[in-house]
Amino acid sequence: MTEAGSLLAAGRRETGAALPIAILAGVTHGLLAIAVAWTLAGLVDGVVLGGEGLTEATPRLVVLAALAAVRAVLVAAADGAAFRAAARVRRHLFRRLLDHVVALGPVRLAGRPTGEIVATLTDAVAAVEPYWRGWIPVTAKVAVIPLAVLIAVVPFDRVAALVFVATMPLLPWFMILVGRGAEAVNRRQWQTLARLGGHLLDAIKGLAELKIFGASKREIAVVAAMAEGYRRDTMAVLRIAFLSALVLEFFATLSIAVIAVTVGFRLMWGTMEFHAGLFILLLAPEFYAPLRRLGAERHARMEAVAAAERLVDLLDRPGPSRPAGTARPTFTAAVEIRLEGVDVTHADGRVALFDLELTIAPGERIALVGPSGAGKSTLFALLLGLVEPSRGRVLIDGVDLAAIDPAQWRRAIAHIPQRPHLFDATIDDAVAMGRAPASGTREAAIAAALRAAQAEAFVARLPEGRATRLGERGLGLSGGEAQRLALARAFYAPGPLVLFDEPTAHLDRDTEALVVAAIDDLARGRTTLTIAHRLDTVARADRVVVLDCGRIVETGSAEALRAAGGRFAAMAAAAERRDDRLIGEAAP
Amino acid sequence: MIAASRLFLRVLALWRPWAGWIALSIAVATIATLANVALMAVSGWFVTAMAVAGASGASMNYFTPAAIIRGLAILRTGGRWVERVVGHEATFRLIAALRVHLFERLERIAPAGLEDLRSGDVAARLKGDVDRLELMFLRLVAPLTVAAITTAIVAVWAGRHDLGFAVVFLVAVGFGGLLVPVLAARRTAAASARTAAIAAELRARLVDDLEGLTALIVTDAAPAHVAALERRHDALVAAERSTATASALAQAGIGLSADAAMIGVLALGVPLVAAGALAGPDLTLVALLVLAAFEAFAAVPTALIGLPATLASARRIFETTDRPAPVADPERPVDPPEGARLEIERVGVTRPGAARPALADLDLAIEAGARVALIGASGAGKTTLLELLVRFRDPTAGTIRLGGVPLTAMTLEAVRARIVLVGQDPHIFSTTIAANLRLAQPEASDETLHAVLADLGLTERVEALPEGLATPVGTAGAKLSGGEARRLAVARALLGDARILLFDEPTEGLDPQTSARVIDAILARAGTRTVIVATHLPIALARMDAVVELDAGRRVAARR
Repeated sequence: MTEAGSLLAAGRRETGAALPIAILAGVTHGLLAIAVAWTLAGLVDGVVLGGEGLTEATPRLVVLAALAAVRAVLVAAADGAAFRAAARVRRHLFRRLLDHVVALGPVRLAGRPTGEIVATLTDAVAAVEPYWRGWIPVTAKVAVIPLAVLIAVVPFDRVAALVFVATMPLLPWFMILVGRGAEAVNRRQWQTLARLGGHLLDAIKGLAELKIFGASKREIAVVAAMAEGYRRDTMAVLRIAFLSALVLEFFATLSIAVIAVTVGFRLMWGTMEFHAGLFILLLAPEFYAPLRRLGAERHARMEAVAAAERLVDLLDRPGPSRPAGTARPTFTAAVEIRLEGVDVTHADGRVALFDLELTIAPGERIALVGPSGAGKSTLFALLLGLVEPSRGRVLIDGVDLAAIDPAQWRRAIAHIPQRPHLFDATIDDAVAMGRAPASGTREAAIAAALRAAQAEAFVARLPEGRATRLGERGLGLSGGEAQRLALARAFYAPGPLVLFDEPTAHLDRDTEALVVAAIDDLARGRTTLTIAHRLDTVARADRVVVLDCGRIVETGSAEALRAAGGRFAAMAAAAERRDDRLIGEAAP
Repeated sequence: MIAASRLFLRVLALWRPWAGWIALSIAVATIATLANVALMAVSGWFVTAMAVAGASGASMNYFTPAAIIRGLAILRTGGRWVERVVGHEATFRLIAALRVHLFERLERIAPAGLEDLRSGDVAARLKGDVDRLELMFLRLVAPLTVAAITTAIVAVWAGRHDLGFAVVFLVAVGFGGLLVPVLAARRTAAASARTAAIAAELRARLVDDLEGLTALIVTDAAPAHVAALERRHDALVAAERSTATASALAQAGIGLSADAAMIGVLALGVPLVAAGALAGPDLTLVALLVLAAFEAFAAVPTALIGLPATLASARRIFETTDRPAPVADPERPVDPPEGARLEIERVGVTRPGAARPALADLDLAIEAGARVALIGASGAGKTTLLELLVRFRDPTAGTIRLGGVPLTAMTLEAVRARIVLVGQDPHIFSTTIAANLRLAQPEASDETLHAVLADLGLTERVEALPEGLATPVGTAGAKLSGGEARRLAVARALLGDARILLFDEPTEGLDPQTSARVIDAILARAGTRTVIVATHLPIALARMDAVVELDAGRRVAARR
């Protein structure tokens, strides 16, 4: 079985009692059709041949009415239960995917567009529904009802039973056809339709480019020609695809006609009871009804399998290679960090850090410098526990980071990213992030954090002050303002380690001074690592660590490194020559 | 809001050229359905008549009914196939008509008028809406029409035996085929609106949480956010449940009505048979006729329940296509100028409903041939400024001049023939690499294409593809990464003849060496043309004549 198939099959565990109820109600509904046929045939027999009047027929009419009511209830109950079964599977899958996404974390998810993950979590999870709501109940009916009809017919009419039995091999054959052949044809057909849909969307999404290059009017004719071409191709495929349904229709219809004619003649010759004859005729369509439903549901199954493939694709991404640590040491004073021969290799084989040896003393201020792609961000991800070393150890105050409970360790970190993400929430929520304050009340702690981050003034100017909702992606805030909110987030519950990713974008001079002052304040008495882009920032550090291609190429104080005339000296000189004082790349 | 009836008329107007196909498709479907209904009814009549003949010893002409049964069997089997083929033929023709109409309308308002389509979510919704509208005939109009015609014919047939039969049948149809589905549809309409709102909120929350995943993990807020997402997902399922219940009730209603119609016919017919006013076989015929007629209603609940969603899709599509064009050609276009100096004078842009202007009071002059870097945080207004220069939108204040002539005085075509933009997320079409490149220069030779690809470091990538330049983008092995797509788009722009080249973050996501190569290629190939690059790359800044910095829509500083 494919992985997608086993993911779907594993869902059965989650369906609980709902699925058996759905199947039982559905199958009972089908079986009651036999009772309906028997009662109806008896009634007509009595009236037409037995000369019965309404009085004699009434009991049977009442039975028919009761059966109709029960069957209506069963239809509704079966679908309701099937929905509940599917809902339980969806709920389970959603939770499982979410947990997996969090376990993967941003670093291992990198390279996957957010939209794609969102679509997997919503659309693909929802697309599993028809499998449980439609396909599984119908397969149960297919397994039970034709057989039951056959058993009901055998005592009365061997010929009709023979007709059913003769078409019986059709049953597994049709199942295989549904499972393989028809699915392949059907899949091609739907892919074609999807491609056709894709072309229009492709052209619409590319309208900006089409306009830029003066080709947008021309494309209208292309859209028309595409649609026409696809019509011709798809219809050629569809004409064949519909033939498989034709086969089933043919057998079902032919059986009814054959049974009607043979039963009719035996009735005329008097070799058969009319009650039995009409009963068999009425059952003939019921024999084939589940199969016809199966044909209709195969598309639902196909889409569910396609959706499950997308789920498997995400779930197959490997998460952390070892379980999270459990030790819960307390970190109060500035921490010491020691990297011992650390490698970080990404899942695709890219080596992000190689053989890192570095000891950072408690309270030391480190500036990390290097071109983009040098491994600075990976080092931060490593310290944040978002990736683990593929070799070597990270020691915090002498304890292996792998042994420490990640949540406990992260509480010790104040992280200020370069482009902080601000959730669609109030300023207060953006600062507190659901955490308890380090001291005092939440209110007071938020106010103090905003003050410390030099954010008090601009927050006060917002329409509703601290209660202002930020909207998607913190819309409306300038780069400097967003940066200071991230700082306030750090000040709210500051740990003894500060990780600061300095923005490359320029802030205006006043804002920059405010941010610098706030960061200096935060760094006091803490171990601080800064990914530095400015010469001024580097100058304030106790020690500079120069990274390139995942290795430490130089380390020492800024003055010492400049005097040494190595990599850092070249970068600094280039920055000064450019006069932007932005350090990053060496001069080409 | 557009009224439902007007929406329907607009859709019908689009379908008018294919009225013949629509009529044929409905006719064939009705014949197939009636053959099915008649097959059961005539078979029942035949069996009963043969039993009566056998019991009474009377002779009977059985050739004709047996032939009719065989004929109906063939008609039903063949009819179903023809019905499907013709129905799909008609649908595909309608799809083509709809697509051309849609594209023509959207072309006017793109891209600024379609800005929301940049988000994958809205694009996916548009695709869903188009799909639903495309299947409106097959899933909605055709089943409803066929059910109505079948009802009329069956009612007349049953009524010829006794008017009471027709009344019973029509009452049952009115209940199970109309009343229950309409009530279900109404209940569903309210529920679908709620479902859509919750689904949209869930999506928005997911996007927000995924983009801020680092912050969630670092501040240990992930468990709380995961729990909140689960609650929303549960709410979504609960909202969908009322739709599911409605549809289940409608299905049950159809079955119940069919049975009720049959029981009603029997209750009416038994005394008639007993009184000799109705032949016995005719009782079987009418009872099975009304029972089988409800098969025509199998697709009706789904169709009626789907109606509000289809109308909502149609409404969204027409509301999108009805948007005003954001820019227009002037009535009397001025001849485009010789010069290529750009003057931006007190330019401001305020989006409708935005609290702050996207750009405010911007003054900037860029000489022909200048190389300018545009820097600033995301949201600072860089992209807006670049879009103004190619007239994807017009400023709400101030003027932009090219060679002394206001951009708005020239035709859009003239502006875009002179100024070309490679956006932040450029679109690569699902055609071949070569076709993507030739969009800018249809006559370019393969050698020219290879040369520009080489400049951008894409030679190895393209040579590794199964068919080189002729490989369709997006097929196996040719899924381009974001960085590769961006470089291909840069190559495309460099091939053209525009005098002013605009690039929005052309090196984002590229490693330092490749970034340097891209900047080198841009500057080398630009020659004496003007280049404006929105970038953060220090190496790019170093090679520019000027650096312009924006923050929150205002100019912060210019260096050099």
